[in-house]
Amino acid sequence: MIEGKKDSTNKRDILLITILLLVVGGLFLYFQLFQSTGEANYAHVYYGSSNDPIVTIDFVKNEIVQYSQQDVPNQYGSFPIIDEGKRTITLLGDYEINGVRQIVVIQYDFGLKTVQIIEEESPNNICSREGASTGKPLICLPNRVRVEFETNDDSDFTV
Amino acid sequence: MKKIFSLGLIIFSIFMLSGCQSEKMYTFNFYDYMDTYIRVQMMAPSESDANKYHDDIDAIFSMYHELSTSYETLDEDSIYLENIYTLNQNIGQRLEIDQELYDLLIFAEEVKEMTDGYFDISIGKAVDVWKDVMEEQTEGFEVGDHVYVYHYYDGEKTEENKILVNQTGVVESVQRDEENESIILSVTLNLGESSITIDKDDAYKKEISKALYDQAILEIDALDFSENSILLETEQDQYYATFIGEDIKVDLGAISKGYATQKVYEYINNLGIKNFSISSGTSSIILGENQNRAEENFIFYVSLANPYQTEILDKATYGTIKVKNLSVTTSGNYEQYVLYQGDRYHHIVSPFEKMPVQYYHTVTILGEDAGLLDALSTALFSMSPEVMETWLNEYQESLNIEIIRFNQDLTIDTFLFDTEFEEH
Repeated sequence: MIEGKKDSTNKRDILLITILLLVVGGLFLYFQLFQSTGEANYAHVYYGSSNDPIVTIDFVKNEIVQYSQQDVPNQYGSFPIIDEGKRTITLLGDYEINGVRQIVVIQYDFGLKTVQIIEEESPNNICSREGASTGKPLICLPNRVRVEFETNDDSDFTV
Repeated sequence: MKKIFSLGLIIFSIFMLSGCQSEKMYTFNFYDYMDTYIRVQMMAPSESDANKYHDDIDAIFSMYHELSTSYETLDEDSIYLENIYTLNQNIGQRLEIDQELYDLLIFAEEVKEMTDGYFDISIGKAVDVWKDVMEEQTEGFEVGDHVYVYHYYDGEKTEENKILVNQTGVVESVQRDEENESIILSVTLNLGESSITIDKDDAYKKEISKALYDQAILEIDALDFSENSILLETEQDQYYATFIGEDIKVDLGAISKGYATQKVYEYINNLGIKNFSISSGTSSIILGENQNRAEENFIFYVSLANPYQTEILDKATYGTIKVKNLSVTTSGNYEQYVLYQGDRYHHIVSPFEKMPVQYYHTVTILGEDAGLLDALSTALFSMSPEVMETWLNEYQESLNIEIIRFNQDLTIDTFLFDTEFEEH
């Protein structure tokens, strides 16, 4: 009886190891196949000084992932506004006109793997003039909205 | 036996986890200083230490922002005596200033001396002329507008169909969407001998009008910087500045960011923390050691942005350097600029020409002091290749700086000691 028990434990161990190996192998293949070099895999949308994205644009699975609501005063309603038809993500910026905070509209393109700020109010409109980006961060000041890319090249910084 | 082993494993895991919890990398984001998104990543022994570091670093950036801004006066309850804005409002008057601002101004004047006047904080009015030109550039296309065309695609967007143009054309007609007039489908340009029609897939940029350019030239011709001087005095632990000259306006935009970043580096260095990085915008970074690359001697890979990316298909970066314990600064004409007759006009202004000069697209400097590098990259940007070479012969070794230059003819020159640079 005892011998038999041991045997089945060993069999289970082998099964477990096999499954683990398959999972790891699968993950490895998945990353090999779907992470072509130099292209963005994800673009993360942040607001304020938080290090946690509110939304991630997933260029691998071609989907939008929302993690949280943007923290905004009640009278503005609820943000982010995600419109998958127009391919836009709208956040509320910090820049005010006549005391009213203005929106920042981000457009993404799963095909080209690009992100672009198509609408924002600010003194110099630097981030909307930037055009479509494939990897360069889009920083909207003073709106405090930023989009950062996660690419699979191994660069730590770009100057 | 097994139980003891499991128990050991659990205790070991808890130990490892708590180890990770106490000392780890923290990221601090700053949005409110020097019109730049600043990010500091550093190791801290605990969350409460990290909070303290954050507040101390915030105070450093905040102070230099307040002192060096030329856009706004000091807050009424500010602890500082004067800032650049208030000094610019009181030309010819001797005003008492804080030591921190005094030191920054002395440093800027030293770099001016060292670069034979190629770095000059007193030419703010010329910088403003070109900043205004950039702001007055309008969107959209009208008949008669000038458009610079890099290339277009004859048929499908493939490399074989790509036709290089590199020339300015005049808009002959604009084709708009029938249902929505604000949507421009394509634009037909007269290139002198031929006409081409471009659309959103092609690489082009609208130029500024001749009238706008001529107006800017008139404005800079009227500026006289020959009488400009900055008088800095100290008496019994008090510090004074006098800005002199009819057309003087001090602008610290080319130095304050790097200078403040260097002060933050000194703060982190004094804490004895080795794993950190500070990036102030895309132009100025200071790197310590990279804990994620222990197997490669803790280096960072830093990509150099391609300043001649004319469309999405062009490469975003043109090379990589592998560095640690070093500062890297780039001055370039590619982030914000307007085109006129194919040349780029932007905020890096030669003190001698009073306008942006057309030698390079970017000048990247590697070295030890981010404040110095910030100012030097601006100065070197306006030097002709001959002047730069002579200057480097005199200063490169003693300052221990290395240069990577992306020229206007799209060639790359390097003046390196032992930094690895890989073009791609």
